[in-house]
Amino acid sequence: MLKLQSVRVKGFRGITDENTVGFDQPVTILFGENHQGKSSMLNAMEWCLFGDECAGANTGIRERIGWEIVNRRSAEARVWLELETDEGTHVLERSQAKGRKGTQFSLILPEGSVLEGEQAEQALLKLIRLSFRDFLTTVYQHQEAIRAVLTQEPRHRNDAIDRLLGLSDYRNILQGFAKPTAENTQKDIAQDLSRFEGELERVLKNMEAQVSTERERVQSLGLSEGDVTNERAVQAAERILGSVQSFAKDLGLPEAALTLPEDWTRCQDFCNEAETRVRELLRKSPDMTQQDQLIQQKQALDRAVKVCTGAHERLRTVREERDEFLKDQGTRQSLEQRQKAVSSEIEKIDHQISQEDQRAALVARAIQLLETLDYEPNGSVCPVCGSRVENLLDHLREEWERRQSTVVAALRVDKNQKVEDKKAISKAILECVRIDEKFSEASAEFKEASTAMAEALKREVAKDEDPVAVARKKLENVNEQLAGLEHVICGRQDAAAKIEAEVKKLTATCVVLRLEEKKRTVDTMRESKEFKYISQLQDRIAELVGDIRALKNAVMGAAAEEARSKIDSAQQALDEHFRALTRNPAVDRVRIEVNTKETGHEYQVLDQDDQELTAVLSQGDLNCLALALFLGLSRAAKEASPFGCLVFDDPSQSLGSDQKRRLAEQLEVAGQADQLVISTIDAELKDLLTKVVTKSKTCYNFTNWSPERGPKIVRE
Amino acid sequence: MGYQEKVRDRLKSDGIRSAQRGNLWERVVSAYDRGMAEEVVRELDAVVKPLADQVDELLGRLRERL
Repeated sequence: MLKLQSVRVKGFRGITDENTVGFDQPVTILFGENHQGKSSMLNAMEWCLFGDECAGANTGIRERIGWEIVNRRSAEARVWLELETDEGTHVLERSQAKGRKGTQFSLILPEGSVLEGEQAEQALLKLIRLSFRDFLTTVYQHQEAIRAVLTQEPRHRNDAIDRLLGLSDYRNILQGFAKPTAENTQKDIAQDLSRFEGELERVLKNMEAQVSTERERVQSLGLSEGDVTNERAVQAAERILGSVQSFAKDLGLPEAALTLPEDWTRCQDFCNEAETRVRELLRKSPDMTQQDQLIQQKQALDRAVKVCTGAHERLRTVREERDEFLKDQGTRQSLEQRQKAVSSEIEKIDHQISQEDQRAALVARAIQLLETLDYEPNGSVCPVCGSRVENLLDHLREEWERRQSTVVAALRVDKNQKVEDKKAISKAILECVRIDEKFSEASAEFKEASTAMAEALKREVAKDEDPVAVARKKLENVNEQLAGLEHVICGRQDAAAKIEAEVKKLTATCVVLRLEEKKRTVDTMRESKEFKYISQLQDRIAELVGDIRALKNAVMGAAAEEARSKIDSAQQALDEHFRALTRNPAVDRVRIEVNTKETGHEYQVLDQDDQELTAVLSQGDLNCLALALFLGLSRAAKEASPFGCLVFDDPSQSLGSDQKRRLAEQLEVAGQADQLVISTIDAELKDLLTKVVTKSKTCYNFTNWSPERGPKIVRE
Repeated sequence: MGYQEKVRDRLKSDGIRSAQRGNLWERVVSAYDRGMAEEVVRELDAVVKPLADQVDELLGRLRERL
């Protein structure tokens, strides 16, 4: 019988400094508030016994995912556990350095020998003869196990009971089977294959329609059904080759280098080549070449005639304009002479006006002088007009001014006329310059057109020849030649068209033959080795999907069987413990039934009338159910288990005062046979245990936890 | 007897497929040890995936001939 003697812990999870808890009394209570290191102390024992097996997701305990073993302020975690056996004390020591994977383990046997590593692990396994799962089910009641049972969600409660029964592996693996990936893949393949067969049918129908259309086309080209064969196609190619060669010969060109096809599959290439070759022969034929040259000459002559006619017309118009001008205005030289003469006349008039102005000024001055001398001949005769006047000076002034203004005014009128004349002559000179320039341009243009005409005629045009007339005569000649060639070329084109028609027939034949061959390929696709292999693969996939399903059923079956077996073994004890803990007057008997469903097994908690109980159980009752299940399993496993101890971690989470008292009573019963280690934050439970449990007890108070030191553990 | 052996025992009664199913079970257990349920999902997917890929490829080839 294995009993706990002591545990010494350093650097493990919430424990920083080294601390020791001795289990020298039958009952040990670890008491303290939350986060004071109680659970760390219990977990340390578990870790020392099972190492990495009790850490991580595969424990089936959600809280263990990402579990940190080594305390954050310590370089390593180290736990020593003393187990008392019939042979004496075994000392287990497990350690793990920070940042390292794996643990170091040693075992000191009662006689003092030390085992290390794998040898020590093997020896430990023989000693405890219990898996981690069974340890959780029958020795160490985890607080998480009770918390999980308290859920109202049936699926989660099933999970929790599985965990209490140590069946987490089954449930976890079945989660992996829950997603039917393989079955979906199988369905996808079946759908894809079905789509492909649909495509195959559509393609076949489409091809049949195409073959029918192409056959009709072949017939419309004058071929019969019998012509659409490989043999006839090759014969048609031979005929086309002969036609192309004789066409080349007729044209006087080298024979076509065409390869005769061996079978219809080469006929399309042959047709393309033959068609290209016929077009090339036609293009290169002497008649066509001559026709091209004549057409080019005709186009050049047409252009030259057009240009020349235009230039000639423009020159004629400008010349008429120039003649008209000369007739009206005279030459530029005569205009310039006239301009010079008018300028000279204007100068003369200006001179006369100037002289008149000087004389006027002189006379005015003389009169003024006479007035100064008080010369006043009364009754004198005017030397200008010869009349007798009383005031000669006044009369002279008036007479002179009248005469003077008349003479100057006449001169000015004359001058203005001359200025106007001069302007008109200047304008005429400018117009003359413009017409001369225009005439020069038209002459140059005509000369250029004559040169172009000479090029089109391919000879010089004599000065006495009308280039347009010469060109028109030449055009007549070219047109006659073209008309003569037209007939010959039509004959050539007909010959080429006949060959092309044959080529077209052969092409149409090839299209039908190719479509028919493709149709045969598609028709026999289901017989292809690929298609057959797909069928084999489908069968193989179906087999594998069957295997997966069978495997899933096997896992579900084994899980249900084990669940049933464990529940059956603990059923009576479960009933006794549950009723003893709850004293629920409505429940005379409780039992758990394991039902197998398609998705896995489920647990039903039933009363004496086979009524489902969980729906009416309180949180406290559910807590009791979890404890009853643990105690029941523990009792059932008693004979097989080497452990003579039970560990409870926070067993009174949701219990009322009465239930706590009854729990203490149940622990009193359990304590008669087993060593008890109870961790609790519940002062009421601690007091009850002190009062109710008759075995001698020791209590460790966990207080003042700090990250630097861990908890302060004081033995009462 | 652990859960692995219990499932293996059940598979032994599967007749001609027992060996293959036994092998598949070993793969599942190994995947579970590696990475819990997620890894089991991947392993089960990998059972048929290569064959499904082959079917895809063959159908692709046949489609090219259409």
